[in-house]
Amino acid sequence: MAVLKIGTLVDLIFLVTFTTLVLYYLQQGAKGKYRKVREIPGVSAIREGVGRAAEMGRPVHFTLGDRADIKTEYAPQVLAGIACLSEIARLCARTGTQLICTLGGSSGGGAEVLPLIEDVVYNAYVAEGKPEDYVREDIRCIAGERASWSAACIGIFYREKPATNIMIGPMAGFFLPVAAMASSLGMLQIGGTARTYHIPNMACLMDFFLVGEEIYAAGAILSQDPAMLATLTVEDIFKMFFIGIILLGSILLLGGSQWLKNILVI
Amino acid sequence: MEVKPVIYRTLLPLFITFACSVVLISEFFVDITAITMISVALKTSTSIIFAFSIVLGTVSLLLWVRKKMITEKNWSNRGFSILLLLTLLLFLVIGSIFGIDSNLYSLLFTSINFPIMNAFEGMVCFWMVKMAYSSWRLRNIESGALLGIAFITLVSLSPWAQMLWPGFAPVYEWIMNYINKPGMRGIIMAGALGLFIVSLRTIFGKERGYLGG
Repeated sequence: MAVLKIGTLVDLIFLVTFTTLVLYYLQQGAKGKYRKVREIPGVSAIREGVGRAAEMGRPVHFTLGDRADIKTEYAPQVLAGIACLSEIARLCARTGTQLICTLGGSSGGGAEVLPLIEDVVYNAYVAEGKPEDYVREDIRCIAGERASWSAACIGIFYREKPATNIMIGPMAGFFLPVAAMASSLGMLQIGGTARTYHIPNMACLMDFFLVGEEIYAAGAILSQDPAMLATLTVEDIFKMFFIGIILLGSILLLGGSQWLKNILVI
Repeated sequence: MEVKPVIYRTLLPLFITFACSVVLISEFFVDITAITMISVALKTSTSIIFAFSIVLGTVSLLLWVRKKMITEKNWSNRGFSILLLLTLLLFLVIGSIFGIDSNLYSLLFTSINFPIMNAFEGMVCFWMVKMAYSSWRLRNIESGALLGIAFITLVSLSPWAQMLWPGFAPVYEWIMNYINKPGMRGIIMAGALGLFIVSLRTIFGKERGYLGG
């Protein structure tokens, strides 16, 4: 055990088990075998939001939030937001709705995700057979300062009057003025973040919102890719497992046994 | 099918992602000097990519300003775009000539950026209060519970709470430890599982959003 770091054995077992299950369910999904996923109101609202904007002849505003940084621990949230954006862009292309994406707030002004966003949106328009409708200037990289991003979004809301505001990704405090302004302008608001600190704020401001893990599932649900949907089963399996561990641990600790606690730190 | 674009646009990035992920994950579990060195080098390389991204961001901003200059009819909006360009240029020139640690750059930063930032911070506080106020509605049992808990929390944190009733502090502690913490932990654990799934899908090349869909 000299090579393996002390205290990581249980983590490694978890990782191997988790990875094996994900690979198995990816394979099952590729064969078209997957468990039906419940409808998440926030995800359904995305389709409604784009439809609303199309009917009103007004744009859809999308942002990954003011912590959209791909090189930090928020990267998976950014990827989850991008997965949603891919489907939102396809919906917008299909309905001929203008899609405005704003990036900013993080240390690089969201610039590191800019090429990804441009490519994702462009590919979505190509997939829908409308590459000529893609407008590069609608993907706007604003600034590294979160306040600048916030102010620019509010300015866009006033000048271009989007009908729907979609904010999915890692949010920090400066999303509040943006969402509050969108709310006061009567825009339909859909939000999602896994940052626990801002989930209550989202709950207060958004018409529909995705809580925590739902943002990771949203991309899969929107795309309806069987392999992606199948992997969500692993999440449920592990949730049940963790609930079992918590209950067992609580009972053992109440009985005065430290056995499980000691096992988990090996 | 053209072979080169598939290799460059899909296979190569997928291989790089997989290889880098395996190295970075291995660093957490094993104590091998070579792996530690590679992972440190990988983490350092993100700074170089970050430097390139700043140029990209500036180009994107300039493209947007150019479009505004061509299409915008309103002169005040054009004026804001010109102001933005001038500010960008000013910071770029001063920073390049005197350095970002110079007194002049610091002065510009503290006299332009800080006041605006602080003004916005103030606005955030205002929106938080407004949002909290608008969410306090006694409509059903859930909103009633929210209202009650919010009231106790708010009052408990005020300086005169202990004078009013000494029981506020223990009630607040109980709410934070037995209602707030388990709820938050539940969300964090479920979020972590979702995060893990997205990461594995990315490592195995199923989630390709970062490759441009």
